[in-house]
Amino acid sequence: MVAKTSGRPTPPPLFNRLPVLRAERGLSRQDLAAAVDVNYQTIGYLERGEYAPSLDLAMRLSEFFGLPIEAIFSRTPFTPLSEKVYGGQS
Amino acid sequence: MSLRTAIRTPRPLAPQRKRRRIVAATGIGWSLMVLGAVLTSGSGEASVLGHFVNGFGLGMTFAVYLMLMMPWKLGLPSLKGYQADERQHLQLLQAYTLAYRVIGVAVLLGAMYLLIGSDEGTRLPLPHTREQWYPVFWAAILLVGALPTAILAWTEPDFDDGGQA
Repeated sequence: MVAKTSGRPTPPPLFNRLPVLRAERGLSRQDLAAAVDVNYQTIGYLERGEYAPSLDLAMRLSEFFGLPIEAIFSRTPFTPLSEKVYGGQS
Repeated sequence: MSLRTAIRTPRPLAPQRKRRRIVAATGIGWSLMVLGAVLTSGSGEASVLGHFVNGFGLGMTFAVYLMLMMPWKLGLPSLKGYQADERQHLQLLQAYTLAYRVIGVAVLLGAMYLLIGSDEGTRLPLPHTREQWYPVFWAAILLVGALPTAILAWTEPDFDDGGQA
């Protein structure tokens, strides 16, 4: 329901690294939701890119992970970590 | 009270099938009331059956209406107790906006019907008895009180918890 817009141009997609960051820290969606004070379903919506967070929520996530916002959210797809580490090597 | 401090542990979202069943039951209950009201305008057995159907529809509608009045029990966002976060507030806003439009159109059409129906030249059926007024009253109660929740209950997809760590 949230994703629907009425006649307005659809905003460009917002990619995120939340699943990776969450998995790295061994957190469940409930854990992350509790840490940033949102409903656990909202974490699922964020991870799937079905909901773009407010600046306040983005900053809470940024503070929680200790990373700049642009390391978590991006307008362009993130390069997979494996490609970054091992990119160009055969 | 800020949103950050207000989030409480929510109830898990009820399955969409269950939520839709509740919404459908409301519609069926109300339809039975309408059917009962139509039957009561007949005579003899039809009228007796109409009273029975009307009462059954009324009971059914009231029972499911109570469920829709407590959305948090279905795991749906609610303004009561400020349990919703920012995404859920947006959902609520969208549901209330859609409900407002639906109610606006329904009121307009209802007023037009009554206006045209009360004209002496027309033969549109109008409610006269108490049983015939029940569906009208309940339509107003359901639309105003439960439509936003019904919209959320119907549209909110089942929660995909596939990414649990």
